[in-house]
Amino acid sequence: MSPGTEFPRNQWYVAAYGSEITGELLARTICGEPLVFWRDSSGRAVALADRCVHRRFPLSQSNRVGDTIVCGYHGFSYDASGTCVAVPGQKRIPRTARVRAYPVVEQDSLVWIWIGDAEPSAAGTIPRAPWFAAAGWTTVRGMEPLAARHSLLLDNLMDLSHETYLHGGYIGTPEVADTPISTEADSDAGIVRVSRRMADAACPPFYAESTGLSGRITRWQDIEYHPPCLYLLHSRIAPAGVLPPGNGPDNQAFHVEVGYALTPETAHSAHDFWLVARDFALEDDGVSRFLAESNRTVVLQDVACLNTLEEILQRDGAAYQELSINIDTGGLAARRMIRRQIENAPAPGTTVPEGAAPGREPLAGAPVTA
Amino acid sequence: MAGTTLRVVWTPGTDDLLGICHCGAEYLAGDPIDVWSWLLAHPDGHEAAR
Ligand SMILES: [Fe+2]
Ligand SMILES: [Zn+2]
Repeated sequence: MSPGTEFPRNQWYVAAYGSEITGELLARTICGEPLVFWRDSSGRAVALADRCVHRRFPLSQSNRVGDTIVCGYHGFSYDASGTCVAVPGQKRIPRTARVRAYPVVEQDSLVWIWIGDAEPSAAGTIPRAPWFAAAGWTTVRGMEPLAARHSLLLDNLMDLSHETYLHGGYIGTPEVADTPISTEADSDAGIVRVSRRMADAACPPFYAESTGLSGRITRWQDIEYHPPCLYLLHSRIAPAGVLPPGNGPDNQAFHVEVGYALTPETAHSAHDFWLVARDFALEDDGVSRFLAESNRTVVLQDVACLNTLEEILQRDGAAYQELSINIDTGGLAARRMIRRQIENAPAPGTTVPEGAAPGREPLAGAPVTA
Repeated sequence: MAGTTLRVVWTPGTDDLLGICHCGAEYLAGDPIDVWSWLLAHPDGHEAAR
């Protein structure tokens, strides 16, 4: 069984950074659906299907006139709700002349979009990452196109032991090998957590250069994955032995909040959004440049690896037995939650239940034995 | 919510995965598919393990 090409629908996905959505038309395919984005005169981000209903010309290659898009082929005009408000040469507008408008929520510097036919789940169910937009934090970020399926990126992020081999000299260090890793699957909250808390570890260059710490460190890596899209890595770095105080701010430590948004583009490609926020050296451009360049280098190492795997999966087909070992514990839990989201997709027009019902299903990736 | 949280603890360098169910039952497994299958089977086999 290989990492699948399916992804859940009827979910919120990150489509863009807020700053990418401007008065200009932006074309982007999300979960196989070609979309056009722009920001209307009230400042609201708008997402419409990127195809004129008339002859399928892309609206993203058309013209924005005020708060309407005028198709660049025959002039069908659509407002921000996707309703056609003018057609060329006649007064009657066909009743079916509308393009689909997608629910959009903008928060924490991210533009989330609802992909699916069911009523969107409440905006309050979208996971938060306030540090990416909050005062007291500085964020560097980027987005790399990935020519590989969503599930390959998920596998990659859920197991950080690959840091040692793929990213040696950047973020890997030896202590990883004797630190217990705790993996939690919380089905009510819909979160997979993977924690590795190193009491006394070497400081990798990524953190030594940004924090200025040179000796041994206490290093915590707490992953929080909110399927299907948002992956958060809470990283705490302090001089060895320095733990958070019982009360009051944890101001003897450096905090780095890493985020990834894993958004399928097609069944075989994805948008790999990455963000690195820090609560120190806020104004230091040198630190910003260093963290941005280092993280982008690491992401591009992953992208090259996963693009190769995608080619191999397509060439070899699905007929091989995947082997999983202990490092895959978190990845398997994440896959299972994704599998459950795919299977529990509600019928069109219905509402998504809050939290999936607990139940027993076979583990995705597990051979069927019973 | 501890009520639905399933946990697996592993020390790299060792071969065992310790599965801890929300009911408190524990199980020592040798690979991740085994440990998740046992956890997801709750309550089957969890009384004996406690
Ligand atoms: Fe990586
Ligand atoms: Zn149990």
